[in-house]
Amino acid sequence: MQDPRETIRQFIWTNHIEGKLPIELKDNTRLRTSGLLDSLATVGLISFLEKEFDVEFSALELTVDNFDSINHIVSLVSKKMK
Amino acid sequence: MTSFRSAANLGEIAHDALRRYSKQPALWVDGRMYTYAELEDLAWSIAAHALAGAGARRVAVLAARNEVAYGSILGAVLAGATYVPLNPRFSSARILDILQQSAADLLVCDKRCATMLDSISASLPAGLSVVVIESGNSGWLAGSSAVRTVPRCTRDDIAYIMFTSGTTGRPKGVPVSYGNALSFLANFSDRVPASSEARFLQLLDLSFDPSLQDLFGCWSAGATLYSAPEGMATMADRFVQEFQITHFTAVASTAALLQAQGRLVPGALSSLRQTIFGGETLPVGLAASWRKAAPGSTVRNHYGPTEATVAITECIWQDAWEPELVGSVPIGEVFDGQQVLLVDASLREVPSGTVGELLVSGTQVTRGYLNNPEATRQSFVLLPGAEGLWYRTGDLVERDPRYGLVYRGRVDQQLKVRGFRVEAQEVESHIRAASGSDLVAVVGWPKNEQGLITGLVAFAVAPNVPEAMILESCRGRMPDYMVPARVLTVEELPVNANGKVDYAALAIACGRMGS
Repeated sequence: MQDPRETIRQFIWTNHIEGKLPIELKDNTRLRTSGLLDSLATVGLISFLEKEFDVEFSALELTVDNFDSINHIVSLVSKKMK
Repeated sequence: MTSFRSAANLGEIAHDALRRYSKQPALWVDGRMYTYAELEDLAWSIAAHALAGAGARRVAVLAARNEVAYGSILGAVLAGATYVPLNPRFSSARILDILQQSAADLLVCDKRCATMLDSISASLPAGLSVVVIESGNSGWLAGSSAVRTVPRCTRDDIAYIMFTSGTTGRPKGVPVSYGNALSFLANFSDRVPASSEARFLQLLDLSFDPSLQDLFGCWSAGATLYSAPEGMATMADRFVQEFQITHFTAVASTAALLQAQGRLVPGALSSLRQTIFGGETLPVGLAASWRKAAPGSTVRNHYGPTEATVAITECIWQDAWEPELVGSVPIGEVFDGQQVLLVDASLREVPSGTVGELLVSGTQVTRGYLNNPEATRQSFVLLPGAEGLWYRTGDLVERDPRYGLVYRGRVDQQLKVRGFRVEAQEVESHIRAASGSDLVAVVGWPKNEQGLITGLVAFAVAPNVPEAMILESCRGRMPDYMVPARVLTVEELPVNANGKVDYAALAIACGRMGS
């Protein structure tokens, strides 16, 4: 299985950046607080993560911070997968 | 106990509730619960800034969804000032425009939003003082020693100023008086029962006026307000389940998104008792699915422009309507103390049973736009033979003997396609039926050199349904001129800051596509 970090990066890159924004997608690039991902994009990302990694986030985990960078997402997802 | 009908201003209501329910939970936001007593300390520490010196009259609030935002609105209300909600999702230019137009003299913002001011700091109005409060820092919990007395102000004083979305031109400010706000809240709480055990989910931005009913409908009852984090309205079902939410206010698009993701399954929202949809039309199929997902909930369709204070009519959905009603849920009957009239283009009442522009009047109707006499003259009119000031909603409405008022589209969304008059609404309801999706939008496109519309383009969130199939089904249902030239099946529809479908963005998308 591919490294979760790369899977997540690829999803965000192909859906929201490639061909649209002239930026690099680093592990600590701000996704939510920068406005890069709006609410519709976030719901798409969450659905993807839940399907891909077979996890389900609770309402308490649905914070802006938890999805604000690849680092944050990886740490949340790997906590859930344990 | 102070009631919405007897109070002179909203500050009295807030002050009363904060004292009365002190130990009870008031607000869950940003992962933490605040009691009424904590909220009171926070609100008064912000009110103290507004009351200092000569006193601030207009308090602008720029904060993410955290305790600073809620505390600042309460603080402004306790100080008898006017609150002007800004939205971190607004551009800096829009924020500056609103600060200038509203002549705000105090701006309260949280630390994160303070950086948004960097690019406009040189242009900020001279008389504006800025207070930055760090969210999550409970320094204010010590409480301010200032006297906690709500200053005298009257029902004619302005409670808040909301700005129109400004999709066509500069945003217009709508000053809403304490009298307007209290009239609305009295009508709201008469209709929507809430006890101190109730749990309200707060999804809407504070710059969108139905948030008024979330905040004050909830707190006046001693209930608990749960604030969904920024951008998480689309995951509303999770919050309903986690917190056993009883009261739910949203735009129909939020429900349609849940539906599109297959999350509106029967019983999924069983804790709900009251659902209020407002701000856009509610498709019949969606109301029916919502009732199945939330069988314990009354489903209310609220209608009203910001100029008439949040909502002025209500229709309670009846399950028996599902097989017989097509299109959208009616908007029902007008609230107590308010009047409606259906008129033609020359403002004469239309015969019963015909479609006319809806005019509204009454204690909820505001007096006009902020510093904009021209726009006020156009929209706020006096009528011969009818008392009071009437607001022209620009909405086409018909009175049905069975359902009450029924929405028939916007005066300015009435499209003329090759000379035929077409209601975008009506085409949308056909596309919904044909595509099986509730998320659809129809725009007039393309336009010829004279600016006249020569066709329609439909958008439907139905990625797996072939365009040809939808078109085929449309051809069987409606006259040729109403059938869209194209039906674009898309993953999502653009929405504006209030979560409503953004028609202007769709028109631009059509323009990019070429004709």
